[in-house]
Amino acid sequence: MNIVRRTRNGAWDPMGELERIRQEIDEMFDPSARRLFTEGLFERDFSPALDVVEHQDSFSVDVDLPGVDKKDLDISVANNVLTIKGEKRESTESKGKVYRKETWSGSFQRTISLPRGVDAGKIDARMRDGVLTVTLPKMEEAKPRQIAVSVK
Amino acid sequence: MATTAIEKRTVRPVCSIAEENDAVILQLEMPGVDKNSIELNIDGDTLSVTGRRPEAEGDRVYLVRERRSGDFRATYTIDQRVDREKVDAKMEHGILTVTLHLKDEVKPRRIEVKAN
Repeated sequence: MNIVRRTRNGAWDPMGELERIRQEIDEMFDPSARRLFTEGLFERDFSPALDVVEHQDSFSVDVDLPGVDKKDLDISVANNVLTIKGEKRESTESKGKVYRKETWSGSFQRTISLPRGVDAGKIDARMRDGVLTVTLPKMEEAKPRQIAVSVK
Repeated sequence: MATTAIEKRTVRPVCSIAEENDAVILQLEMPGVDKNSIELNIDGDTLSVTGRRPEAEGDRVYLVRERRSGDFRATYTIDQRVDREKVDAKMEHGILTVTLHLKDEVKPRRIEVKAN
């Protein structure tokens, strides 16, 4: 990655650079404006957005995966690292005129270090309306315990 | 586009638009939207799509938060070629596919020139 990028004819174009940086910052705030390039100031790739939420006795990971079939998903846990791999297929092979193309297809992978105390044997994953939810129950000893102390 | 504080924040879904077989096909990615919570309206030349996402219940402790919250909303301007009576919509795996059929008269027609 170059901070100052040379144009094809070797000349430095400061106004063009400013415009490019402005566009990249716009894309950070509007994912729909994202171009399918992996070059530029900020690294980006085909990595789906996810949330990790802590509940009383479990953790859950929600991943936005619109258009991904559950049979194209591969979820594994090894050494306390959750790996979600998959492939997003092109939903319709368009032969006609394309007016706009913001959707992407291809393979993707995300890895998440799991918090301590996850019971790896009881992990459950389900797909609904294009959202993958992985539920990771906490081990008994990691659950918060409330101890009542009676005041005499 | 300015939004007021009272107005609920909406997200424009990622979309692809293509034309084939006498129809314009819109594909909108709306993960987490149930097909029953989609509203599709045509008002004059404006096609609007709203997809409501269920609110997260209770207080959630986020360890990582990357997904955008809020309902999906997109509006498109459609021209006279689109047959308002023939619009199909299908929701599958979080992708809404809207098929806008084009009217017959816009299909190319060859006009014979008669010699006098």
